[in-house]
Amino acid sequence: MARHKTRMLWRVILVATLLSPFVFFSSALRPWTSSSQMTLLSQEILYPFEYIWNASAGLVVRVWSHYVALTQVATQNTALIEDMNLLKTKILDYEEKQLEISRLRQLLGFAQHFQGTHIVAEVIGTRSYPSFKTIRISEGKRDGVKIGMPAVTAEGVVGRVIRTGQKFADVHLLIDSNFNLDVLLQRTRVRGVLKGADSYCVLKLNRRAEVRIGDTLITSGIIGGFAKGLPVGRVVRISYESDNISQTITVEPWTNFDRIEEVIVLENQDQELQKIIETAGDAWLNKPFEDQKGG
Amino acid sequence: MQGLARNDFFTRSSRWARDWRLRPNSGHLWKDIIFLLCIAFIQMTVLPSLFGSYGYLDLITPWLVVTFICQRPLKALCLASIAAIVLETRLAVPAGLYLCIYWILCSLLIQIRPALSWRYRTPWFVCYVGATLWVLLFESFVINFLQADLLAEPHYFVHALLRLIVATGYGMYLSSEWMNIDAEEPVPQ
Repeated sequence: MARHKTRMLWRVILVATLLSPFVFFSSALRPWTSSSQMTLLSQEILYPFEYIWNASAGLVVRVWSHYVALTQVATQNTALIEDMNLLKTKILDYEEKQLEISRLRQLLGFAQHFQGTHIVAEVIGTRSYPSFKTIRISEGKRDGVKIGMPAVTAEGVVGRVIRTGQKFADVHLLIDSNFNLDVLLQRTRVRGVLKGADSYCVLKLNRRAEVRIGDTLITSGIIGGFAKGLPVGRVVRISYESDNISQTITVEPWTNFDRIEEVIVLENQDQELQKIIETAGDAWLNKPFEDQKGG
Repeated sequence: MQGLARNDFFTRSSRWARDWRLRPNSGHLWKDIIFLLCIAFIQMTVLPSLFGSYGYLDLITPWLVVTFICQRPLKALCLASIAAIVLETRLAVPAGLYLCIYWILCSLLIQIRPALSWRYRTPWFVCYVGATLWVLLFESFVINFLQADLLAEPHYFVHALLRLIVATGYGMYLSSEWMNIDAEEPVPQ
């Protein structure tokens, strides 16, 4: 009897297992987006070790590059002094222009493009898989990081926060294939949705849209929590589709994702998502999709 | 007799090191979970930081293959779920990808394991190659939905080949203790 029961149980598990891919492929194919303690329990356990490892590896690299590998320093120093002198002159010019711009903005009644507070975080985990790209940063829920907040560097957009632990957060990178971003072509103001594709991004536009190699893309600020005007990347290739309707624009992001050391998390989070969280609470994010629709 | 056994520092240290040697079938579920988390840490943090883009290797799959062959079904399913959740909450993979991959692999191996002799290299080798290929193909299938261009990149194939070789080699090392003619049978009776 007991043997019969075990055999039945195994049959049920086997059938469930064979059906699981169908359930999986009928889902939205989105990564876990959660700040729940239970979901991230394993990551909370692993985080201190990851932090220690990263700190130790960083120390070794710093000691090597600051005290041992110094053969190019003298040449670089001379070049940097020359650059610095040139930049000092330019800065004086820029400061003057900045004052002029703010005066003009005030006159025109424009708001500053981004005025929210921000959180500076250190990158402690590299992107783990070539095909599914995230980075881990050293600031989490305790520091005020929330799901949906945009992450940027001085160069441009990095990605969006998808998970938050107590002292860490995972940022979904712009170049991941699951990442979409609403952008504008700075020169022509044409709008489109940028999609990650390995080490670059692609943008599909109507063939009539005017695009040139070297054009800069900026965030549109319409959806996704990114403020308007953040630099995203530049157009490096334009290919025309055989349907004679569309063109595929290849965009090289300004951010070098292999060399990010710090990111700035902007507290200008996704307004729509925040409204939902404020109304339904944090637990809403962990609910299955069907329940969310019902709720 | 117990009193005659050596109990100095070195003996105790070597006994401790033997007990805490990183292996997939330690005999205790809690120890297996700790070891699994260690392997996940090595795979996701240590290797990428040491070897850069060539460090994205797969150590968890061969580890789980040994677990599925040597552990009781419930324990094996439990460890498979933990491994899948660890991977999914660290990467940007679609939720459920690794749960699906490892559950299917676990059920399949548990069904076929009594029919094979695990004292020979061939069944182990076939299992590691098969399991790694299964993971790679399932991932490629999902990537195909999201980002077809990546599959055409030569570096993707080089990386997949490297993952296959390392996973198989690491798996053969893990299971070497069962590949003797007088070794204990790994499948629980």
